[in-house]
Amino acid sequence: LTDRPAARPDLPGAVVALIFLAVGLYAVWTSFAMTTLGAIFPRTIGGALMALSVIQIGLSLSGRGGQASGEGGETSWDGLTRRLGLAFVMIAWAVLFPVIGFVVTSIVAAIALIVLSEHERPSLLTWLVRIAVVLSMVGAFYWLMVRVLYIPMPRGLLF
Amino acid sequence: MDMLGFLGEALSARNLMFALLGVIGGTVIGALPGLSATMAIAVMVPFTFALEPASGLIMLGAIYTGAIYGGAFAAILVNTPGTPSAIATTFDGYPMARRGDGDLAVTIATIASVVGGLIGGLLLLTLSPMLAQVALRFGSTEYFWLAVLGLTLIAVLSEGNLVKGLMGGCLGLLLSMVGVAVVGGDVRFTFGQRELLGGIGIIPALIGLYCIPVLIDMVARPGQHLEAPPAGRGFRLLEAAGIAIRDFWNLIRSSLIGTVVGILPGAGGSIASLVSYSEARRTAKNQAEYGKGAPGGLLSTESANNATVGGGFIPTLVLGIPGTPPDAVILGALLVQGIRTGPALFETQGSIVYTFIFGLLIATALMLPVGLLIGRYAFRFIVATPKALLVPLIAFMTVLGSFAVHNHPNDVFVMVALGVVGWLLNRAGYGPSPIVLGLVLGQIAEQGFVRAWMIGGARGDFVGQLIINRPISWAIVALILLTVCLPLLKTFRNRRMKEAS
Repeated sequence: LTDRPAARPDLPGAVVALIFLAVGLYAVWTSFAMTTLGAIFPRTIGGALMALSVIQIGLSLSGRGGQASGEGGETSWDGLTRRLGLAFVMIAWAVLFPVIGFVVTSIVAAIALIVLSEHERPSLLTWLVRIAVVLSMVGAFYWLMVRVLYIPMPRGLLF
Repeated sequence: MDMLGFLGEALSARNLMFALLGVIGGTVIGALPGLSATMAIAVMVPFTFALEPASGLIMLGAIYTGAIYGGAFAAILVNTPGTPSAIATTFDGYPMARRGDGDLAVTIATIASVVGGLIGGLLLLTLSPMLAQVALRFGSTEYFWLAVLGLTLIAVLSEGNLVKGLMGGCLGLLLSMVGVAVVGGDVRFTFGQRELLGGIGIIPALIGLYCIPVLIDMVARPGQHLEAPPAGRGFRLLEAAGIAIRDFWNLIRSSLIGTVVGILPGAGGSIASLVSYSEARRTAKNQAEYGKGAPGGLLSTESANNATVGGGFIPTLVLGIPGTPPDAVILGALLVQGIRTGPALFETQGSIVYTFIFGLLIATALMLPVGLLIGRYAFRFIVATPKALLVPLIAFMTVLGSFAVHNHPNDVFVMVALGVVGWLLNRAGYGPSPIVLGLVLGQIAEQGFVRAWMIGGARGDFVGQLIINRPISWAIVALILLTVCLPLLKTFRNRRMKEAS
C-alpha cells in the first residue's frame, strides 16, 4: 500500500490527514440532518475518509506513508516570497474584481505578476514592452468576451 | 442522391470553407481554459440560420470536434485541461512537455484525435440506429458502475501513495456533493452560502487544481517554462505516426470506447478518456511509464474524447436525446432548420444528415493540418515567451475562463481557493488528479447509485437492480475487478519471484 519504509516521519502528510479526518467527521455529522437519500453518499464517503485518515496518520508518523512531494520544494526565501506573492495576487484579484471592476483589477494584477515572475533586471524598454503586450492581450480578450461572446463582465466601482 | 453524391456535396468549396473555419475556431476556443465548445456553438447558431442547413450544421460540428481536440494544447503545454475531456491528457501530456517532448505530444494528440474522430464519425455514418439502442440499455446502475470504473484510476494515479490517493478521491467526492442534491433535494455542505447552492463547477475546479500550482511554481524559478526544442526538429510527424502505428490496438480500442461512452447521454468525453486511459494502462507493457509521459496514455485519451463527438451525435440524431451540452445546442439548431430527429431521419432527410456527417468527417480530417500548424505555434509561443509575460497571460486566462462558465465571480474565487489548497496538498504528497476524479465522477456515481437504490427498493430487489439482473453491469464490474486486482496480483507474483530468487 505504501512506499518502502522511510526513516523520517511525514509530518505534512500527517497534518493534512488530521485535517481530512475533521472533514470526514463533519461530513458524517451533518449527514444526520439530511434525508435518507441525501445522506447515503456523504455518510459513506465521510466514514471512508475518516478511516483512511486514521490509517494515514499512523503511516505518516511511522515514516511509512509516502513522503511529501519534492516538486516545488526549494526553500529559498526568494522562491517562497514569489509563491506567496502569486497566491496573494490571485486571491486579491478574485475577491476584488466584482467590487472594483474587471479591467482595472486585471491591469493591476497583470503588472504585479509581471514583477513577480521577473528574475533578471531587464531594461526599462523591456518592462514597457511587456506591460504593453500584456495589457493589449487583456484588452483583446475583454473585447472578445463583451463584444463577441456577449458575456457581461463586472464593471464594479471603476471599470 | 447516393452516398457519393452526399460526399461530393460535403466536399463543395463552400462546405469545405465552413468546415475549415469551424475547426480553426473550435481548436483555438478549446485551447483556452474555460471557453467551451458549447459557448462557441451557441454563439454561432444564429449565423447558421442564414446558411444552407447542411453547411450550418457542418460548421457547428467542426467547431465541436475542434474544441474537444483543442483542449489538449493547454493540457499538454500548461497542465490545464482546456475542456473536461482533456483531464486525462494532462497525466502524460504535461510530463512529456516537461521533458522537452511537447512538440511530439502535440503531434501524437493530433493524430489520435483525428483517428478517434474518424472512427466515431464512421460509426455514426454506418451503425447509428443499431448503436442508439445501447443508449437505451444503459440505466442508472450502469452509470454508477461506469463512474466506479473511472474512480479505479485513483489507484493508478496515486502510485506509492495509495492511501493518500484514496483520501484525495474521497475529498473530491465530498466536493461533488456541495450544493442541492439532485436526488432528495438536500442542501449539503454550503455553510449557508447562497453561491454554493449550485455546487462547485467542474471547470473552475479543474483550472484551479491543475493550473494555479503550475503558476505558483513558475514564478518561483528563473528560466523558461519549457525547454526549447533543437532547431529544425519540425512537427515530428513520422515519429508520432510510428508511435501510433506501434500502439494501433490501443488507438482503435480507445476510439471504440469513446464512441460507446459518447452514445450515453450525460457521460461525455471526460469519462470516455478516463475509462480508455485506465484500459490502455491496464493492457500496456510499459505500465510503469503511464503518468510519467507515456505516449500510449496520450493516444488513448485523445482518441477517446474525439470519438465521443461522433458517438454523441448517434442518440441526438436517432433518438432526439442529446448526449452532451454541445449536442443539445446543435439539436436546437437542427429543430430550427426544420429537421425532425428520430429513427426515420436518415430516410426522410437523408441529404442533409448524410452531407452533415460527411462534413464532420472532413472537418475531422482537416484537424491534422490545422492542428499541427496551431500546435506548432502554440508550443513555440509557450517555449519562447518569457515567464514575465506567460504568467500574467495564463493567470488572466484562468480568471476569465472560470468567470465565463456561469458569468459568476464566485467561480473565480472557487478556482483560486482550490488552486492554492491543491498546491498545499500537493506539497504534502496529495496529488490533484484523485481529487479531480472524485469531483468529476461523484455526481454520476451518486445519482446512479441512489436511483438504483430507489428502483430496487420499490421492486424489493436492490441487489438485483444493482448488479444481478444487469448483464451490462457484469461486464463493467469485471473490468473494475481486472483493473484493481491485476496490478495487485502482479505485485504479489513479483514479490514471490524475488523471494524465490
